[in-house]
Amino acid sequence: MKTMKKLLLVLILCTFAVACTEKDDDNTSNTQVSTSDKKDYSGTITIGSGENVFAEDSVSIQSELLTEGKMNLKMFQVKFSPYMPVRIDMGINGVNYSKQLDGSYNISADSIVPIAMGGEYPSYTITNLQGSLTDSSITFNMNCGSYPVTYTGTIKK
Amino acid sequence: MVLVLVALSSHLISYSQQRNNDRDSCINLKEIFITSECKFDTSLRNEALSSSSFDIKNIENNGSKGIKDIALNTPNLFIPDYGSKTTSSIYVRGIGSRIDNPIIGYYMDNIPILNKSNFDFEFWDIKNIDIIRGAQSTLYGLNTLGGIINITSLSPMNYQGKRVEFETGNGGLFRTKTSVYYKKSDKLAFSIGMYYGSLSGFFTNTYTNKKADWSRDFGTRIKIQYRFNKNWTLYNNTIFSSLNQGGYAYSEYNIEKKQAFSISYNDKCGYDRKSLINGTKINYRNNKINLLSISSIQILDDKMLLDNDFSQKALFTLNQTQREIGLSQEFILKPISSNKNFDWIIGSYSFSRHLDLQSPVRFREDGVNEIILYNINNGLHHSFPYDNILFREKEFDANSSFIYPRYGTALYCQGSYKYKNLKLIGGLRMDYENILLDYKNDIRINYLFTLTMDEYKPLNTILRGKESQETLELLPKIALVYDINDDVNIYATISKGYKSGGYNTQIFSDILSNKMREDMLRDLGITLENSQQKYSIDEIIKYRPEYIWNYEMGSHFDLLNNKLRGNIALFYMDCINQQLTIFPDDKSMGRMMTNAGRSKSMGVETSIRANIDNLSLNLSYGFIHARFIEYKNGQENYSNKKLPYSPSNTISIGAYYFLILSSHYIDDINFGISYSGAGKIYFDEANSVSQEYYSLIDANINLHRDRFNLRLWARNITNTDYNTFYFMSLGKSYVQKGRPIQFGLTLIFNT
Repeated sequence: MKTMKKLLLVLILCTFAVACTEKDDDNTSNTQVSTSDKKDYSGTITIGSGENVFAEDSVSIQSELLTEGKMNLKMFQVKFSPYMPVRIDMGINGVNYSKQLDGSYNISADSIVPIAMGGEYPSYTITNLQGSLTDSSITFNMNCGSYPVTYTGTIKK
Repeated sequence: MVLVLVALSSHLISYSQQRNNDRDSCINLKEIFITSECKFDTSLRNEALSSSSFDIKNIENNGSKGIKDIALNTPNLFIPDYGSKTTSSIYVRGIGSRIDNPIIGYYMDNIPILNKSNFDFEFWDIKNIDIIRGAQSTLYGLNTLGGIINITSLSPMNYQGKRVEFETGNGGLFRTKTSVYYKKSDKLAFSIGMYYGSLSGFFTNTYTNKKADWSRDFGTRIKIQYRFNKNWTLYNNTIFSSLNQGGYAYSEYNIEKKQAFSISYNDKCGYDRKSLINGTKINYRNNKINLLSISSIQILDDKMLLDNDFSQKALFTLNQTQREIGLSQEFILKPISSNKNFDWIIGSYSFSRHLDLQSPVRFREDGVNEIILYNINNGLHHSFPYDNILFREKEFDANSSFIYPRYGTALYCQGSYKYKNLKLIGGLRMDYENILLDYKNDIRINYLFTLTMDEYKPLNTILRGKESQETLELLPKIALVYDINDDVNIYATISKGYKSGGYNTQIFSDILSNKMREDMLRDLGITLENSQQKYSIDEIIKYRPEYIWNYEMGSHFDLLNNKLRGNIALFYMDCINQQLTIFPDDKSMGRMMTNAGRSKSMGVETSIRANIDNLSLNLSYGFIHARFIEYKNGQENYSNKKLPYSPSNTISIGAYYFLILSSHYIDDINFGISYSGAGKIYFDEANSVSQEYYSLIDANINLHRDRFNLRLWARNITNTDYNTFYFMSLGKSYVQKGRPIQFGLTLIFNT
């Protein structure tokens, strides 16, 4: 009986310890994301391909890592043509990310309707977004509506 | 009226001789002593200054009802009659400003009128008016760089009796005044008077088919004078007035054809003013000194409604209310000495004005669509031609609230030493002023962008801030007067004048609507290429003080046994940081004060009166040559352009002929005719719009019998068509016409 009680006590303690460990794991996971949840980058955006390329430097982007492998990207004051008379802020929400062994993240997305100019803007639907994100840089390619877009940036100090 | 004009035409160049010597002409006369003027002990003719004076007979015979009428007979003083009675734009020797601080000090019974909105009031029982031109800031402080106007009403110590007046005329004019002056003893005297006036108007708003320039006003004045003993005397003066008027007879103007269209606007315009001024003067006098204390409390409560676009469209309106409490206190110490070779005056002056200003601009439906949304969507349509910004509100307010206090204090002294025929005058004033502005502005709307949004989203544009500026000025004066003989003197003066700085409250609707547009685009995450903020708030709302150095020389003369009297002055004014009212661009809704860099004004002014038996002739003429020396507003260079709003020439010629009849029905009769002219007037800094020289002819006949006086009068009898004001709003030009022919009769009963 005493043995049973000891065993039960050990089980309870183990359960408690496991529970605590799981909780700690959750915390660890959350901490990993939250420590790098928002980062600001500045870099070069290139729109188009071949001879019809339009590029601009010093374009700002903000990344925000969320839980469950999702992140948001926000591009500030971008234009997709030299003749475009406005610049817009555009949010790409729900981009997938996965952590790599070297600590970087692969990012990808398809068929995301961006948020721009106060609401969803289907004309600039994001397709084929592929790229990577590190603590110091971000690089991705995507199609923004009919515009092929490449962005390469480094973190703002 | 035809008979009147026929009679007048037969006496076209006739003038009246005063039956008594107290009937003076409109110019400053040797016998007019400024006894009520605290800072000059002698006649203004003995001072180193240029002045004009009007006594009660001049004022009543000319039918002058306000300072704008008096200005017609004063050289180089121009006060155009437009807008409403809150609009007292005063120009002296070419320098002046349309809004905010005046260029001239305005005194009623030695009380400084602190707010320019109170300048234009009904004249009644006015004993005399003295107008001094040229910077008087050493003795009078800020906002007197063009001179001062001192109005003195009848004193119950010096005049007793009853005065009743009825007046009627075309334009639905009706006025009545009554007053009683009672001297109970050598110690106590008091008076009470009141007036009521109404006018149907001369200009019709064709949109409402009602007169635009109607008015009704009421006022009362109570004076008490009490002499405690041989040393102490107290004077108390309470003035209340209530004004309700339409005004703003503005019509669109075609500059090329110089043609004004009919007045036609849809929203209500008007001005309501309630004003209470109480002034107390305490005089202590012994055989050595004279100490004066002059204090006042002034309350102004007014409301101005404007259809700001003056068109048939519902674009935008202004609903402005001012509530100001002003306090002033001045101490003056002067010697009483038989040794008049050396004279001096020292004094201190303090004032405080606390202004609570609310000036919301309501953007009405057409204004929202055609101004606000048009400007926003016009930029967006380059990228999104089929989508628009929409507002849930059909109309909304750009709320503007200001607490705008200012206070100041000053110390001054002036001394004069007379050696034989030469008098040297020197003075200095130290003037401190602090101005504060606490502004709270907001626009609250709900907007939607049809490209991306399904629901309206609230947008609150808020603009708050505080500003302050303070100035410490030294205002010197030096002058010489040389008496050639008892009848002629010459003088030279150098003096510095100063006008306060301030803040442009009227431009906030522009700033706020621009900020709303920026906030909305920022909220949408849109940046328009080539968009730039046209002005920064700090730069645009503040304007700096204006300074004038006044160099003047002149003469007063009294020739041919007092038959020919007059004065003449030559002047040069160097104006630094001249304050000018501009519209930031031709699409703006507001107006603002800016400092124009540097300008100069030089010219001549003269007033002459001649008496020949029963004929009296008055002539006053002023000429100015006033130009910008440096003025670049960021877009244009206006250097060498003439200063706007002030005429190059001001002319007044008056003639009176006095005839004693001694019949059973009429004791005496006098005929008067006067000619006044002004021009050329430029209405903008570019000198692209102007009013050519114009002439006005007035005439009157006064029939006197015992205690009754019947006056038949006509003004602008040639019905001269002229523009008295021009401005631009939303890219369109507008003018106000001068009043057409006016005629009527006045019955005065005096006991």
